[in-house]
Amino acid sequence: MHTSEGQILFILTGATLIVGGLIGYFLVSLARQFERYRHQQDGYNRNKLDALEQERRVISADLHDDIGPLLSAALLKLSTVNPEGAREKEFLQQADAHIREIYTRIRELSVQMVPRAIEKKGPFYALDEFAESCLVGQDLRVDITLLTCPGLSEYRSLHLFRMLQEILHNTIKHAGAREFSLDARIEGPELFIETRDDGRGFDLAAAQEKGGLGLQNILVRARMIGVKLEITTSPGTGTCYSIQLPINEEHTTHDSSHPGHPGR
Amino acid sequence: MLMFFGISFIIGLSGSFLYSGPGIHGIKSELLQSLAAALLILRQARIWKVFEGRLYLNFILLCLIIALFIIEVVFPELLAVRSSVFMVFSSFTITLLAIEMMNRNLPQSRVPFWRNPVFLFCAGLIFQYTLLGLIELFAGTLRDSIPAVLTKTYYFYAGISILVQLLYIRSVLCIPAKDKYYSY
Repeated sequence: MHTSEGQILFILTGATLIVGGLIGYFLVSLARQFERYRHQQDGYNRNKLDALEQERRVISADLHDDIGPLLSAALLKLSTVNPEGAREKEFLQQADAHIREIYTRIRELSVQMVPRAIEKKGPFYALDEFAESCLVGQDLRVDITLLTCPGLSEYRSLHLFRMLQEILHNTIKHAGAREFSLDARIEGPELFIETRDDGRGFDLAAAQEKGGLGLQNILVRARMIGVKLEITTSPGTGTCYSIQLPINEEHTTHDSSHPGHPGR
Repeated sequence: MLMFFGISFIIGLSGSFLYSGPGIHGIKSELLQSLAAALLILRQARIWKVFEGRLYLNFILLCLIIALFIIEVVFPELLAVRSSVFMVFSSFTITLLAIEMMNRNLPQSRVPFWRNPVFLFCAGLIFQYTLLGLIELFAGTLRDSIPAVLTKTYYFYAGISILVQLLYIRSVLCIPAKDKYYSY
């Protein structure tokens, strides 16, 4: 081979290798930065959801512990009033009924914000209570497997409940379904949940592209507690969510760096 | 970014009109320009948090660039190779930093890339300094064997430089106007 040809070959090979290396570096670096950005977003969403739960607890406790006793005191005071006229008596009865109504609603609201059933019996009982409270007047039959998971921490139970609550809420609000079923079973260290409805379904890719808050929160919560989530749906075929969750936190396969429970 | 353009312009002017041949005090203006560019890009990369959690890398690169520049200017016989080691090293360092800066900005950018000043600026840097690094690396070989190709390569570099200047102009035009000022 002629010397200059050899040199041209050397230059071309060298230049190609360098440019190829730079392109490779570019792609790897880009993928790394996207991954880093996703982690940042997850951290941000996690903090947001933790703060939201914390705020719910505070508001729920305030409603239950502060306003409840005040209303009870007001009822007590009203009961000591002895009206003279029939009109005054009627007003007093109406006021008494209103305060009792407010008291009941505040208790319901307080329970709905942070269902006590999560702590006592677990997420499935809490979901059953939620379904009972919001299905009044709805043409939807709900069938939930009532299962207790002793090893599931309260923090993870709460997030699992919120996920299931959002799924049920979406079914009621958007699916137009007549039946909703939730099957849960424990196999070894894993909890398997499958929800299914016979509603109108949706275009999953379009929904993810649109970035609706409900679906996004389900996905974020799933990553937070190490859930493997699979959504099967398409327009006209109903929706099925398959959830796989390690019961003990040490079995969590991803996102195990989570600090744990939110402060109270 | 604007400082980079300003200093490049001043050094370019001095190279073109004031000093020819050996450059300022015997230092080639290309070397000065590369040093200024490398230092400014290093500074910009630090501001844009490319060295987040590994600030030592910034320090090592800074030391290497300054050391190579001094060796190249004061003791040129120490680096007895046909290419300028400083130019090659600083060019590829700038390219890699530009890639990092661009990629760091891309995922969180809310504007399309043709209106993203960071993307345009970094794209300009990548084009310019990759080519400069390659030319500098293979200049010796080309000069010895086929000088005509080297001349054509410089013409090609000049053509690319026009494209790069257009990218820089566009990037400056896309910098959002600061019409609100906050003080903390």
